[in-house]
Amino acid sequence: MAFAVSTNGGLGWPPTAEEYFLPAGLARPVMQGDIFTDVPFVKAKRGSKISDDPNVAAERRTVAVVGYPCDIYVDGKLARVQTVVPVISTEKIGIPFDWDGAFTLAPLPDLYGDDRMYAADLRVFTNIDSYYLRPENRIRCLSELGWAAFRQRLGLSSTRLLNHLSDLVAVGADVWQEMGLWQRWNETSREPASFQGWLDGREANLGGFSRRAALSRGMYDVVRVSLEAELGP
Amino acid sequence: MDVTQVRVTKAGNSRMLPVPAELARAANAEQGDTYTVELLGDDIVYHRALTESMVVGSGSNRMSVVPSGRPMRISGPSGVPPLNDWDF
Repeated sequence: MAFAVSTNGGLGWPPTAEEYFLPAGLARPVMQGDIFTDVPFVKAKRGSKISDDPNVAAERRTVAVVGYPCDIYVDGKLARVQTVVPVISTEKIGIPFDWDGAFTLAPLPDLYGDDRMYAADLRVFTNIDSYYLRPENRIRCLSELGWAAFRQRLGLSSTRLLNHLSDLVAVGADVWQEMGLWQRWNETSREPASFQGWLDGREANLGGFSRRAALSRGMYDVVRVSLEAELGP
Repeated sequence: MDVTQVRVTKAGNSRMLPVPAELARAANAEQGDTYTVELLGDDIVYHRALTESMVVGSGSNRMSVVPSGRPMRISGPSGVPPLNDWDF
């Protein structure tokens, strides 16, 4: 007989790629936890004395976007400055198979389709120009449960508090739905940034709320029908 | 065996049952914490009882507030060592 306290809402740990990722189509808006390759990652090592400029080195790395979705866009376009963490192979660190104690890593299972475990290294945050987050270089997007797990690890690494996945899924539901609607908008080849203006619009059948406010009040189906009407057949 | 007594309630009836104290400590269980119990095959899985978090504020100040005692406290330090060099 085993005793366990479950906080993972049915998600296996470490999760599988099928649980954790979505297909990374080009229409999907950039989202927290997205994985991009070939991004210049700058390290500023110390100079020989305190008054010297640091010795700056740039490496091309695979990185994960860590900003919350609301914080990475300006008027529907990616903000110029983005915060990312590097992706590492867990084999080099030698963490336990059950990830016990590995608070500062977020799992990225089978990231490259090679059956190996990788991780977003939450010990290292850095800033990059969003110019380098090219759609063609995005190799993974997180699933809804994967996004919740990623946020769970972000909180755990900084606070040693483990939030329940079900709470994180519930808290992020309207943002997750917004991303799905935005993806749908982009699939019709509309200007991506203009989606946010549409979402801020009001409709009589939304009780005076903007579509965004309606989404945050759980009226997803109404907003989705409105979007489909907007997009047409 | 060192045990912790827990009160188990089902259909309005309750009784005290022992749980190994070591396991209770590992789960950071404290007096007053509430769990739901699920039987999975031969295993009993304890889930912390959930209550709704509250959404407060509006617009850019909208956030969720989690009731006190809900998240699990995890004892540090991390099993992954701090970075002491730039070779990551």
